[in-house]
Amino acid sequence: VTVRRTAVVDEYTEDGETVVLLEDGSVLALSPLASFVLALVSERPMEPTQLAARLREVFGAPSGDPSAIETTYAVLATLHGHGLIRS
Amino acid sequence: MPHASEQTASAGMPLRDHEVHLEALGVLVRIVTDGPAMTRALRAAWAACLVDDLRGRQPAVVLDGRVAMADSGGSLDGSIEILTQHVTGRAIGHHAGELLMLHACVLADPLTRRAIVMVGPSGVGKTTLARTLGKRWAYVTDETAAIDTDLSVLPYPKPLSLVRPGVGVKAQVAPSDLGLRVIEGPVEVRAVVLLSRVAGAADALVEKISTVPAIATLSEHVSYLARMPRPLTRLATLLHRTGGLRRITYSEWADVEPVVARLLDSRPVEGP
Repeated sequence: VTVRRTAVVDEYTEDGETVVLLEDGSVLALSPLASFVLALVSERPMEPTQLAARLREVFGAPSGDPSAIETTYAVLATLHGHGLIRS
Repeated sequence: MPHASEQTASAGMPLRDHEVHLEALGVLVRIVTDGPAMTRALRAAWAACLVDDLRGRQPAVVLDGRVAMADSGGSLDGSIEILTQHVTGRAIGHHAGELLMLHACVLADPLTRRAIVMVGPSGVGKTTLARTLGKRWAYVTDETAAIDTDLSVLPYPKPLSLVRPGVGVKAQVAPSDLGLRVIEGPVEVRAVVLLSRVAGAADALVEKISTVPAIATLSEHVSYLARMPRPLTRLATLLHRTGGLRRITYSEWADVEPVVARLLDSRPVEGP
């Protein structure tokens, strides 16, 4: 299963943080991790395992629980919950 | 929409007793009144925005004071409050998609024309700051900062809506009746602050907010955000050019005065 971005009305990124304006008019400031994931899937659709590998490269492996893949799924669930990605 | 009686005097009353023209955020508004009492009340409250010489201009907005009177159950004060809300709402709507409009109190240094935009929800103290610090600097508005891309702000010296103890309807009071200075012509944004009022706070605490969370916070106070092209970038540009968003946590208005002085790089002027 690959993950891809959905369209937003507007977005702005600075210092690794992104803020988006959604179709429903709400504005959402994303964490650096979520901003990074959104940027990755903006370039091309990716599988969660690929995303987890890229997150490990950039942010390092999470210490203890949760694992990188669990962290990735949590971020994806958040982004999906706000309608920013789809599978 | 106005009745047909807008265009013709009734009961032998001169036409001017039935209408008031004013400018709100550069928008010419005609209010058709229900008679001399409403006309007088509107002219008094909106004294700083009155337009007596139309110079051939046609109003962009026409409001019917008779409808406001009916909606207020026949209360003159209530109808003036309703009309004040409608004037602001229609003026803001007129600029939707064009100006960045923040729910804010704005004060300016009358000499340098530098302005501070103080953003915050209803009840945070915008009107109190306007009616107090507006005597020391100049009152630009207590409602909407309409900011153009060059950071200029159109003055909107509307009546201040003041709560009266034991009275459900707010009084609409002209800035001059409160001893406030008003300023003509555009002013320029020098600083943007987010107001946070905490009872008992000692002095005013000023904190910088980084750009992305600042945009998310400010967006809650922008009218017609999604109607603007690239609104988030517009907010970012405003913040970059004014030193970023600062949150002022305060308890008493007097504690805000030195902060305003510092951000405007000016000293308050004593006396009216």
